Amino acid sequence: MSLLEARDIRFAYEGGEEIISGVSLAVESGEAIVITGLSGCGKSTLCRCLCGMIPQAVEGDFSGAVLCLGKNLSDLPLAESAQLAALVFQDADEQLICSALEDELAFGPENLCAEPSGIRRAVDEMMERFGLTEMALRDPSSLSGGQKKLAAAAACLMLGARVLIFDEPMAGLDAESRGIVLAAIEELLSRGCAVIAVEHDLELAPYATRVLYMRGGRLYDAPEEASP
Amino acid sequence: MISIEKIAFSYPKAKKLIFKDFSAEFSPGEAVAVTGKNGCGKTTLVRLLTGIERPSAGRITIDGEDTAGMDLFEIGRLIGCVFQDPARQLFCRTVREEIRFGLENMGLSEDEIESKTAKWAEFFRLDGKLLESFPGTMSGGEKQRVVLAAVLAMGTRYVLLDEPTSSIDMRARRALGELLRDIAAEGRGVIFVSHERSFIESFATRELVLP
Amino acid sequence: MSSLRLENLDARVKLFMLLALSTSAVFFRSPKVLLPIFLFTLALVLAGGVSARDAFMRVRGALRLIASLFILQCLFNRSGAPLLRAFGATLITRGGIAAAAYVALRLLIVLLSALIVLTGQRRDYLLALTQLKAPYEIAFMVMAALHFLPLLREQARDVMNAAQMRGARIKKAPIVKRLRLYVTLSAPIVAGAVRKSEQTAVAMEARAFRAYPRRTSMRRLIMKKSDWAVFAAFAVLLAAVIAGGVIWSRAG
Repeated sequence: MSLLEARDIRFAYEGGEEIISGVSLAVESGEAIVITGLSGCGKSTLCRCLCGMIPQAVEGDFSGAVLCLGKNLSDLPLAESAQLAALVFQDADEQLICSALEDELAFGPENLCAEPSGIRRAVDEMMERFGLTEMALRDPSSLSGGQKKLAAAAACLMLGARVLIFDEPMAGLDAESRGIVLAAIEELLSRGCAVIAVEHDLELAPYATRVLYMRGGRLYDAPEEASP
Repeated sequence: MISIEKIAFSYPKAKKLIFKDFSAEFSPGEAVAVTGKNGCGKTTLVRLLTGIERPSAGRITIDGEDTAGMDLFEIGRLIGCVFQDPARQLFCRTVREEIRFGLENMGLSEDEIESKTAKWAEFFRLDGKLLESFPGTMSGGEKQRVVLAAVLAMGTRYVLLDEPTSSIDMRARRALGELLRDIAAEGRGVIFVSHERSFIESFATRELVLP
Repeated sequence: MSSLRLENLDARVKLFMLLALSTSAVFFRSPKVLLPIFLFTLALVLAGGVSARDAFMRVRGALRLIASLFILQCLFNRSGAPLLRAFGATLITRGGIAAAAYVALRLLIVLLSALIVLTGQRRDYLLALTQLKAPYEIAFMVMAALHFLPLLREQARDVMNAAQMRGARIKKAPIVKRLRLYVTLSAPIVAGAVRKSEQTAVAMEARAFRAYPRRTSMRRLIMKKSDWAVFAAFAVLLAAVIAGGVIWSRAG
């Protein structure tokens, strides 16, 4: 059984044209998949389909199935599917809402009514793992671009997600921040997670196990197949 | 020529000076890439050049005129600026209106406005259906192209861009780079902040590294 | 003693101080009661470690408003004995001064008491609200607003700058045109804010926010002995100050 499996997903926003036109994908643990395509081709929409945000939180016409560890994400409330597959937004500021980094990481477990000392331990461990301990009390919005992505990823992992989806992880980041994000992705892979990164460039391609090309709402294995 | 003469600047609540006795010159005919580490002041420089922030010491002149006595409108007629976050520069209902906005304010004839709008929309691949779309719901890369079209259509003497390639794809990046080089060749001035090594190496005539 | 500094005080005590001072400012009408309360608030703020400069900066913005309100009240409130006459006409009356003082003092008390609360961190107030049994959704809403409002203001400013640079002559436009520009330009900001908040709401839902009717908290605010001492002292002193003021107003 694959870690994440998408079966013929199709999606159109309410009143709009079909943006995802039959995407199928299987991802194994430890794999890093890069999906690339021109801006506007539906990459962000695909991200949301793969983590269950579509159809749970977004209106539209959705068909097909996304299975993570065998469970169909469409059948689960968003709070539960996020514990399997989670999305790191392109704009990290939309995801970081607390005024201290450690609170940001604690947010998820607190919502799940986890026990306070257990949360404290888990937060400290997660910060240690990603080298964020020094920034525990800093306001996440004051961190650098790369650190923000890291914080968002760590916050998602606090819920136990095994598949992390990144929407344009490198967009707008300087060299140092890019290094931070790359190191984080490597760490995730080494722990048996799977990473799906969607980008308009091929920056992460050298580090990927597989690169897929998106055009017209479908995925292709080779760029020639995807070009107009 | 844009001349920065011994400026000093720090943000009101910050403790350290971002610029201290800093000078630089940007001549027409150049495409200057401004680079430097995170936090060294690249975006602040953009804000100082456009007059959004004012230096606490020294002065900035554009073609000999001191910007201290000019407001944003007057500076905007000389420098077309594309800021880092496209979402904070888009305010019209359609892409067409967005591109037309600056042109209408320049007092051009309707024919000229129409033709320039069409030309720049086509250049940035925003024609067809996209032209009537609402910029707010477009993807990051599309938004960036809309702002580029809207600002560059105005044909200002100097063009200032802050991370113009952050969200756009390879194809648009190449087109933009060649365009900037053409603008410089026309005798106008181009200044852009970037940390894309390949873009800088391919299209900049000079690099200014901020300390 | 560092434990007496406002910034180290338990957030709940500070919220109580804010509430008590603002309520008394609104409740009492006599300047003879408000003046002691104002002086008490000022003393509290300064003793608590807020620099006089910061206090002044905060109040400065409103001083012009207070001054104009003061003048207006003095000129238009004709009650009571005349205090200042010129050219045969009464310019300022006792009633006018009293009314003006009342407005000014009330504003000053509220502004200064806000300083008490500003000496803390957002996360502590969030904890304070939830530990005081406020529903957590409301506490989060308030905190989110505090977080996003400055960002919205920044965005509005950026849009205005961008529009001006593309030829919108906002500063020199006639008032009607200027208002129309403000409205046109604020539309995308509001739309953007709505969209962003939707995204953030989804992000929060994805981290299980509101999955259950209650939630736990990694941190907990604990009242120290010094917190209780300050709380008690404040309550007693405020009551004494108000009582003194009431007696004074009854006497004169």
